[in-house]
Amino acid sequence: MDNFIPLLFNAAFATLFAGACLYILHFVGQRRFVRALARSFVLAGFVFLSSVLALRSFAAGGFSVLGLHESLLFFAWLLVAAFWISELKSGSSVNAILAMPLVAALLGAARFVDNAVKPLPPALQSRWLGLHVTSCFIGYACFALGFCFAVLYLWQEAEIKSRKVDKNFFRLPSLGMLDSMGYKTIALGFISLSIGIISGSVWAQRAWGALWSWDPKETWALLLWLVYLAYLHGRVARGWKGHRSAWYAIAGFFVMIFTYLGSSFLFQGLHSYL
Amino acid sequence: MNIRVLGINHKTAPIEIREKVSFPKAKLDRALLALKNRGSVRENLILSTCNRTELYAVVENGASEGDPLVSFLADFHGLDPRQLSQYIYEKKDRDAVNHLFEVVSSLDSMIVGETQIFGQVKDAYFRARSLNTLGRTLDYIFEEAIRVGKRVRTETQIGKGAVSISTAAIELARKIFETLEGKTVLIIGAGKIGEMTVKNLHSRGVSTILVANRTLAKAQELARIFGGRAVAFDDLASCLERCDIIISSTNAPHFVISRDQAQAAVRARDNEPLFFIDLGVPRNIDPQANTIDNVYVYNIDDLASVRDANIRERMAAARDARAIIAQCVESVCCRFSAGGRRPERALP
Repeated sequence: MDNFIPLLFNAAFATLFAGACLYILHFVGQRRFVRALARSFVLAGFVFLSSVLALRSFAAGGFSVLGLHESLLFFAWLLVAAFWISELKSGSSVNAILAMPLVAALLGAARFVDNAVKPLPPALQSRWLGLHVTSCFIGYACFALGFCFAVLYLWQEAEIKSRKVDKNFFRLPSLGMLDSMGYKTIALGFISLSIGIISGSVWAQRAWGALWSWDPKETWALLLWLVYLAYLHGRVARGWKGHRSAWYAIAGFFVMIFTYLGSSFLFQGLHSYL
Repeated sequence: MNIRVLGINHKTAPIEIREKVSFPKAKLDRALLALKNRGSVRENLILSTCNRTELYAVVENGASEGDPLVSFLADFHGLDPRQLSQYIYEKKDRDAVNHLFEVVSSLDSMIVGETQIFGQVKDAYFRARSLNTLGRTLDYIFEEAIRVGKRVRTETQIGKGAVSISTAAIELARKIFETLEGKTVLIIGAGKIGEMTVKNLHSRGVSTILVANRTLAKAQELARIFGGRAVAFDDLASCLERCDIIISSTNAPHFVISRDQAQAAVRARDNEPLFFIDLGVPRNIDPQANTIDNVYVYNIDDLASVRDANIRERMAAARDARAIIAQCVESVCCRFSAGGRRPERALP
């Protein structure tokens, strides 16, 4: 079985990478069968990826998202799922041209990271692990998706502002849709991140005896939470729609990347196993 | 095959001639049946729209009494066949099939890619079929034509993109707002394109129409036509914030709406987008307003360039469509080359 996991992982990476390319090809050529092909590839990749995650958890003896490799896989897996939900809600698959390359990039990065299956250390053997990690990463996936919507928004906005529409004007969805989908995705991500932070604190209180210990990851997560709180406040109370809110979502995404990767790479802390 | 088509369309004849040879609904059945019993005609179908009148027929081999279709058209409408001949085009067999496929795909239309012709061909086919004027050949050719029309529409971009100023404005509005339902549109001044745009917007669910004019009486008159509300010209600035789409076509010598007014309006409406359609010459809306976030200003030239880009796209799509048609004509002719009768479906 240990040989089987890398094989499945490679299959997942290859199919999702192909899926990403096909989505871009569909965007350029607008051929329906290309999109159908892209969808099947992504679906196949998702199945492969699910089996990798399931097999690794099985080998580790319980829900396991441990170390950078697994977290990248889990992130990618959630991003595909989040994309599907947003596709269903918005009726547009255009966001795939950014979301799917991002998924492929996450898996590509995971190839270069130690992929050994480690048994779950006793400190993490808790029912809280699943809730804490899952809700944090759902938050990340939503913010990443919100970032994609924001980039598309700014692209379409530039198309319309230029007053010389080209092909991309027709290919890209409406500004109204991109704006409202970006907002909804980020609002959902914010709720999920909140659950992740709260469940982490409760767990820390039980395991370490302190709700909050100003671990670098905690500090950055709090900052990230405040960034998106400001975003939501701006939208609800200050009327930050469209242009400004899109730039804010992009900035938030980079804070998220730093919270996810930077704080583990640069600082030692309680979250060093990620 | 012995398929013939005889026609008059917007390219070959002016409206004065086209209206004389058209078959309004009331006369169509009588014409179909009359043509059925005429000389060497075995099968027939009549396609009559405002831009074209076409007679499709299958004629018997070796018929020698001259052209049965021209004489029928002339007789039915009481015209002189020699006078008609200069406006007429006639095609046979392969060319006739090719012509039909181009017509049904809207390549032969006045506005290439318009959608009406497809339905008109279908109606003509069902009318002829219900009166039993079709045989196996025309029945087959028209079934194929309907299939080709569908294929061209789904596989090429022929029907995409707005090809008039007013529809280009609608298209832009739909790329700015997710939906036009429930939106408010303000029309300032009166003008043909402006009115057409408002009508178009109205049919797409715009909920409120406000009308402003220098003279309130004129505004009230227009408001009645659109089912909207008149707004005094002096209140323009204050009602901007309630509007999503502003169409302006006054001949005022200066800007009717300044950049600052647009900025104040978009701020007052919490950055909900504002779309200005400036049809006035000289321009009515300060073009600098386009630099404000969530404000979009298109003048008449911008809209014309959108329309022209779309027309170029349609021309490119027409090339794709011709490739599909050539392929389908080939396969239809192959099936017929054997015996001149409708072959069995089993052939590849």
